[in-house]
Formats: sequence, C-alpha cells, structure tokens
Amino acid sequence: MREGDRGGWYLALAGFLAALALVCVGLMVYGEWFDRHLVASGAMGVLLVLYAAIVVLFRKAHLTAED
Amino acid sequence: MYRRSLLSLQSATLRLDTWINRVLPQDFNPLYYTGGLANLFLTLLVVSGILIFLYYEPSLEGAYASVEFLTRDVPYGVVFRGIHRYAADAYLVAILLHLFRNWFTDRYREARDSQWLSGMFLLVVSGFAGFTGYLLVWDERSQLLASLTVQALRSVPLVGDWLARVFLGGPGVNDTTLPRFLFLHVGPAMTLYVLLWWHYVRLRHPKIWPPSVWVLFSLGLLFILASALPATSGRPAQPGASPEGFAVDWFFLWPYVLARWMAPGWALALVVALVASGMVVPYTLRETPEQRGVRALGQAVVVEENCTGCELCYYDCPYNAIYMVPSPYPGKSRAAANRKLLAVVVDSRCVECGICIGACPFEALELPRMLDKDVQQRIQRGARATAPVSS
Amino acid sequence: MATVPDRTPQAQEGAPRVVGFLCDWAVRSEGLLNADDTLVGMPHVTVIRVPCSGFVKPGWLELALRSGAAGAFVCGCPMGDCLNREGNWIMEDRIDQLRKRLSRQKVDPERVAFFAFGLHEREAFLRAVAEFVDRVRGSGGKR
Ligand code: HEM
Ligand code: SF4
Ligand code: SF4
Repeated sequence: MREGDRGGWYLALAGFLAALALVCVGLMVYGEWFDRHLVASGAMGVLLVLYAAIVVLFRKAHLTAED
Repeated sequence: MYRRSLLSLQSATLRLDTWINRVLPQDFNPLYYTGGLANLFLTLLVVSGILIFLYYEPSLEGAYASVEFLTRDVPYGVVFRGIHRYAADAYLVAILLHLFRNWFTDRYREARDSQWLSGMFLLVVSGFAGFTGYLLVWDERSQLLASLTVQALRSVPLVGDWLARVFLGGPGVNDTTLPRFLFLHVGPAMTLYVLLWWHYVRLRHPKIWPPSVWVLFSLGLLFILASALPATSGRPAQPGASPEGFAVDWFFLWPYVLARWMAPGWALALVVALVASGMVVPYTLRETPEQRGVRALGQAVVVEENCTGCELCYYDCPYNAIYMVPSPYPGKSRAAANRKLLAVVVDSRCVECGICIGACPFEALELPRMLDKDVQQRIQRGARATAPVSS
Repeated sequence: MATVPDRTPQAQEGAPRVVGFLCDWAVRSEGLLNADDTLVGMPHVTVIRVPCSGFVKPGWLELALRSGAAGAFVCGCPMGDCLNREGNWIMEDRIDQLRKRLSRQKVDPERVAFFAFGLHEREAFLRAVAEFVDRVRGSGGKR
C-alpha cells in the first residue's frame, strides 16, 4: 500500500518539527540570557506543542505502538 | 422533541469522533478524555496557584501591590499568573465538553446519575472558585464584581442581608474581607477534591489523565497564551470609586455581563435556575427501555451455587458494582465448595453491561434476560448451519 | 500455524461459517442483519448482538470454533468510547489471552479477532468482516 511512503513523509515532517524545536531551545536560551522572559516562555510553549505534534507523527508512521 | 434532539446530538457527536479518528490515532482522540483533561487543568491550577499564593498578601492595602510585584519583578511571575488564568479557562472548557459529551452519549442517567450529580456540584464549585479568583487582585474589576455580588445577595428574600454580610465579613468592605475572599477561593478549590472522590467512587480505575500528547499540547498552549497575552490587573481599587467597564473573562464572569441588562438579583436567580435544571437532567426523560432503543437485560445476578469467590468479576466491573463478601455458606459446585468469598451485585450501581459475565469462568453470573445457555444455543446454530436459512 | 485442512461441506463451498458478537452501541444495526441474525450479503456470518463487547465470554468463542465455525469475532465501540468505559479494552485483552491459549492447543489463533467500530462505521465494519472471512477461509472445521 501507499502506507509505506506516507510513513516516510510523516517522519520527514517530524524531523522538520524537531529542527524547529531546536530553534525554540535557542530562543529559550536567548530569552533567559537577555531577560526577555516572555520570549523564553513563549518558545517553551511552542516547543511543547511541537513535541505533541511529533508524538502524533511518530504514531502515524507506526514508529510507536498503542499504549 | 427533547428525546429526538438528544438522539441527533448523539449521532452528531459520534460523527465528529469518526472525523477526529481519521486524523488522529483512535486512542489520542481528546474527546475520549474530557474528564482527564479537566483533571489535568485542575492540577496545573493547583500547582500554579500555590506559587502565586507564596507571594499573595490578603489585605486591602497589600493585595494589589503583591500581585503587581509578582507580575513585574518576580522572574517568570507573569507567566505563572498567566498559566493560572488560562488554565482556569481551559479547565472550564474541558468540564463543559465533558458535561455535553456525557449528556449526548447517554452516560448520565439511571445507575450513572451519581456521577452526573457530583459533576454538577463540581461545576458549581469550580465556577465559584473561578469568580472569587478575580476578587483577589483587588483592582477596579474586583471592586465592581464585589459590589454587584453584594447587590445580588441583598436581593435574596429573607436571608439576603445576612448573606451579604457573610460574603464581606461585615456590613461593608473591611480589613477581614480579603482574607475571607482568599478562603472563598482556596476553600472551594480544595472542596473539589472531596467532590472528585464522590465523582470517582463508582468508577473502577477512572481515566484521570489524558494521553501524553494532550499533556504536552495543553501545557504548551498555556505557555504560549501566558506569554502572548500576559495576564494584567486593572487600575487599583479606590474606596468609593465606581468603575464602569473592564475586560471581562467570559468563561467565569458571564453572570456579571448579564447584570448589565438586568438587576443583579435576577442574574443570580438565573444562575440558580440553570444549576437546578442541570441537577434534574438525569430524571427528566422517563422512557421505557424500548423507547430508548436498548434491550434492558436486567441487572447482573450471581448464581450463588457456582460462585467460587475468585474476584475476577470484581476486578472487571467498571462501575464498582460488585462487592466481595465473606461467604455465608459453601457453594454447591465442586469448585465453589471451599470458597471464602461470595460476589454480590449492588443493584443501584449496576448498568447492565454484562462485563462481569464475560469475566466469570465459573458460570456464576447471568444477565437475567440473556442467559448463557441461550447464547450457547445461538452460537451452535450459527456455527453449524450448513446453508443460509433465509435471504 | 499449521491446521488440518478442512473437509466439511460448507468450508468447501468457499463460504466458511463465522460467528460474531456485535455490541449494541457500536455499528448501527438497523438493516444490518437478516431475520435469522446473519449479516446482510454474508449469510454465512451469524451475528449475536450483545449489550457490551465485554459481555462476551472467551469460552463462547471457543464453543463457536468447536461447533464448526471457521472463525469467531467480537466487535465493540472505538477504543476509548466504550459506553461502559472499559468493555472493549477488557475484551481486547481477553482475546489476546484466548489467542495464546489457542496456539498452545495447536489451533490457529488468527481464527478469533477483535474489531472496534462506531455508530457511523458500518462500511468499515463490513469490510473488516469480509477480510476476516477471507483470512479464516480454509482453516475452518473441527479441531
Ligand atoms: C472538575 C471537573 C470534572 C472532572 C475532573 C471530571 C473527571 C471525570 C473523570 C476522570 C471521569 C471518568 C471517565 C472515565 O474513566 O471513563 C468522569 C466521569 C463522569 N463525569 Fe466527570 N468530571 C468533572 C466534571 C463533571 C461534570 C460537570 C459532569 C456533568 C454534569 C460530569 C459528569 C460525568 C459523568 C456522567 C461521568 C460518568 C461517565 C461514565 O459513566 O462513563 N463530570 N469525570
Ligand atoms: S453488569 Fe456486571 S460488570 Fe456491568 S455494571 Fe453490572 S455488575 Fe458491573
Ligand atoms: S467471577 Fe464468578 S466465580 Fe469469580 S467471584 Fe465473580 S461470580 Fe464468583
């Protein structure tokens, strides 16, 4: 089925989101360093949401099983 | 009319599920965990609330300044304040989703009415705690809310003046008022946990936590909201001033929006009427099982001769409707002769699901109108039929 | 898992007998069954409606296989949406255990199955049953 190549697509997207999450980590460090606390906490929020999306994508790519 | 709209709402709710399940894996569907989501936000409220409590000063002079200090000078204080505020809104949204889902999917009546009633109490107490939270800041908004509340309470017949006095801790705002408000905020929040015990007492391992995806997502969303729209106070409260407009939190303060168009007393009466009608929801539709479209198979019955006291049914019953009691006399079957325990079904809790029947390996449980032997006959007929009987 | 090829007449017709249990709250049942409780369009599949998928005793599935059915299945609501909160999870577990027991007894564990479909998923349900029938074709018969 096409399931296979779609799995690859999900993983590529997850990789992209993980890269974005890395940018968020950078922003968190920046915000903490230069006392832009709202930038840091906002980046943390985005990071958590990205992680949630990655969990879903892993599941859809059958990398993780139920439970 | 009501019955038919409930049926189409049920159909629509399940249609929505089908769509969600097409996008998300089935066990990630957030609508299957509305109770767990409410509990998640409640936990976040308690944690962020304790952090705020460490800085809060319940006095007329100090309250506003202490909240400002937290917001401006404590590192990430504004974030915690924001999380507390937006978690409260998310909590209310989750409770309402939970309420409507349980209503529309027929999980609110008969043996489940106890969960519904405790749920309504949870809703009322949560709403009250949400409202008293806005009093604590003691800005212009708090002042206006307090004076509208006093007006509403005063208009209650007979006990009105007394209620208003109890609310303020005296005939007017005084030095004991803010400590009292603090208690009226934290006290109900703690009461929620007592009520949750009632809510869960008939549920075997309730799903009190959503899947990790939703924990991550909800926490992330709160951080984003708290950073993008920092929680703020209005101008500090002035004795004798009468503020007019303020930014309103629709989730908790809607009765006060109503109070613009009607006397505060009527807004209060409306809230009371809404809550009262919520409480009777499980008892309004008096339907026969046929009208409900379900086959009432009767509550589970223990066949005492056969019960061995193995407790398997007790572990599987999702509604805690089976109790194991010391066996008053030995069973008849060989396996049951030396039993120590006997299973007993608590009728008022049993929802007639039959899960205990599937659990019992000793033919010691039956649903009265779908007996084991009849099912066995039908199985054998189905398995043996050599040619289709009809069609 | 090797099984003895079946020589009974109904299996040779290519339409293996299957017994299924369907929860009242899962797939909408209006127009789903013939008068004799067989599935529309699949007269070799008998469906017994139950109040909850968790009502089904694993022993009943074994009884179906022993009585000549090629396969037996249970269909409950989507996971997470059991009206009785846990019926479908419990049933899925019981079927897992039953499968282990069956393979110890040298019976093909693929002959029992669990499905989860909601009110509006009749098509998917029928497709799953048809696939199941295909899978158990030829593995029917006595053990
Ligand atoms: C503080 C807010 C609340 C929390 C944290 C909460 C939490 C929960 C949880 C965790 C469950 C178990 C779900 C499961 O395992 O299947 C549950 C069940 C239930 N809740 Fe709530 N709930 C809240 C408020 C309400 C409200 C406002 C109502 C409606 C008035 C309500 C009605 C019900 C009903 C009827 C059930 C039983 C569902 C069933 O039998 O399957 N709850 N609640
Ligand atoms: S039928 Fe059995 S499992 Fe279901 S609620 Fe009643 S006692 Fe519990
Ligand atoms: S599962 Fe059956 S035998 Fe075991 S305690 Fe329950 S009723 Fe008795």
